[in-house]
Amino acid sequence: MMSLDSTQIFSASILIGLIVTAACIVLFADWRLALFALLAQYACAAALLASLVLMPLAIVRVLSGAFAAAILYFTFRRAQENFRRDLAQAEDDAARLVVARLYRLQVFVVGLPFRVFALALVAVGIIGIASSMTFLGISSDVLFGGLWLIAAGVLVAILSRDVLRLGLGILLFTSGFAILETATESSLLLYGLVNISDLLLALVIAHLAALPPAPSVWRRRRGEVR
Amino acid sequence: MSIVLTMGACVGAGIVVRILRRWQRAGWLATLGSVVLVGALLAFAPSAPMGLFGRALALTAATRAFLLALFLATGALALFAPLTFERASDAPASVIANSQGAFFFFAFAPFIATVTLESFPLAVFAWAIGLIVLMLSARPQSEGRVGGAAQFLLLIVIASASLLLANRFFDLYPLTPENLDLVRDAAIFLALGFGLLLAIAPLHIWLGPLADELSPLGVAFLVGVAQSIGVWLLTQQMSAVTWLVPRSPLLNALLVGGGLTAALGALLALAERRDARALAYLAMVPLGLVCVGLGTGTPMALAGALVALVNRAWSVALMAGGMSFARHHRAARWQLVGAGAMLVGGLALVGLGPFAGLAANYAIAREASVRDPMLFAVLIVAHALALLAMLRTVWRIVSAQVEEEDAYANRIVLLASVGVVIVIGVALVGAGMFPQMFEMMVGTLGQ
Repeated sequence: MMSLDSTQIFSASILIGLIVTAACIVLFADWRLALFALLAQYACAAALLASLVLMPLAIVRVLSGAFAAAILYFTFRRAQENFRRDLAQAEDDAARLVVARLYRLQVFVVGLPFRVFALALVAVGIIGIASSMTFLGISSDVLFGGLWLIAAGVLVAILSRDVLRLGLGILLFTSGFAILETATESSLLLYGLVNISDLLLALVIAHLAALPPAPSVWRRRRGEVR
Repeated sequence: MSIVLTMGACVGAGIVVRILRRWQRAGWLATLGSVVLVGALLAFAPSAPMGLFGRALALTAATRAFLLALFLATGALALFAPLTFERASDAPASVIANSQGAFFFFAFAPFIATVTLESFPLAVFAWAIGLIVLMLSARPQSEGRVGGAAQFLLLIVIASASLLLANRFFDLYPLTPENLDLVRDAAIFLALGFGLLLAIAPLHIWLGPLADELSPLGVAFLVGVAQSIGVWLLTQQMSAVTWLVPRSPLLNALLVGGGLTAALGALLALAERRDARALAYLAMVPLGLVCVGLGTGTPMALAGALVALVNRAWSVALMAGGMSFARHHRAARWQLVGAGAMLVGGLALVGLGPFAGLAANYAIAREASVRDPMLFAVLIVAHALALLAMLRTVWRIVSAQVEEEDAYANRIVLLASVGVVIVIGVALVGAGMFPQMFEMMVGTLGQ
């Protein structure tokens, strides 16, 4: 029977953590769970990065992830508070139904079975790629971690109807790319910029999500010539 | 230090314009002051390279001329922004509409770094940051739903990742010159990254949904300024990695992509009735020409491509200003100003009349006709269709029913904006009559 040393067990648990956290973001619509999974994903990614850079630098990734998650948390919570306020102000059942329809958007464009199927296909594809090819001399576990997050991020972005969920997809993508970039480039400046861009992306996503819909006049002004 | 100071001045200008957004006249004056200040800093900053975090920032004669040309378009767009002034309030729609100019200044600051940085990966980062900042001026069409701006964020991240991976292949290839797979991979990632962000057909599909969420001024900044920065980055990289061009099909990809972009842009503009989308699609036509110019690879066509790029930035700025006049000020005289600005901008965009576009189009078309007559024919047809699309939009404004002027429209700001229209118009004609003014900008490219 093949025996595993502690390094392999550690590496395997990080990869399992990345798989589970990304899967939670793809599969579950609840925003609290998704945000918690994003934070856990940053911790797993930092653990993977610790094999490439010094530990204090790897922890920077967790910090930037925590800040990005905090920005998104306040936006999610504000959206929920707006929903509760409008629901309380609704005068009758019909008005409540309208408010509920307005706010209770489907997070994803497809149902759970399709998402499970899509995730399984992506997982099989990434396992196939990471186990059969080499890329710029990156070790197979780092390659798998990076590619998995990139693919899961694109999947979340494609399947999302909610802009905040698409934001989680973008952050997954950047997390995966940060792993590949750090594995191939030794530039600390680039590493720092990747972390800063995560925060900037979270800010812009929160900004886009918090804006009220364009009124008809605005839409007319921005849309049709006449 | 002056380059960093110029970037700081851009950010400072954005903050001032944002603070003064409630007062239309004060906002316009602050914008004008900022344009003069940043323009002067750009014009008189010393050329000596400076170090920042171990990387060099250099303002050569060519980069200075290019940045000044694009800053003229940025300044014009920022000065046109008060035309869309809405009654001051704390409503997000009003805040965004009244501080559009601030976002242009904020986004231009990283673009200065993109052009002056001597490191490709950092320049890509700076370009992406500028594009992300611009998305703050977008206004989603429905609350919480994924729209063009959110999708564009994803594309920025994907494209930046592609360009950074391409850079890794650039670094590796000289170490193993026998490995031609690296050349192929570098070309693929480079084409994907630039193709996505420059909206080169068939990777242009994001342009329409994004245009729905930006104002015409925002679209003009995106296609006129931000994309021009990207093309500059591409030309610099092609010059830096000299082995890439002869060993990869990059030039052919540029020729095919350019022809396709021009043709599709013209067809889409002809079918489009929404002004921001129409502007975005019209701007694809000269972008196609620029790609063809780069793809031919001759010094004449390369110079023409850079001139066409500047002409495109100025003419879309003028068209967006005209659209803002026509859309937001319904009195007959302002409608005529809007139609006139759109007509002049449109003619310059397609390269008709005494504008810089004519000289640029001639330089590129001559090389294209020698190399591939079919491509030349496609470009001619695309420009003719773009002209039709532009004339139809102008006619719609001229023939529209005239209404009363809004009560809160400020006459001084309107007259000052007419002055900006005249300045851009004169710049376009001046550049057409004296194309040698671009000599400094295209000189280094020829080398």
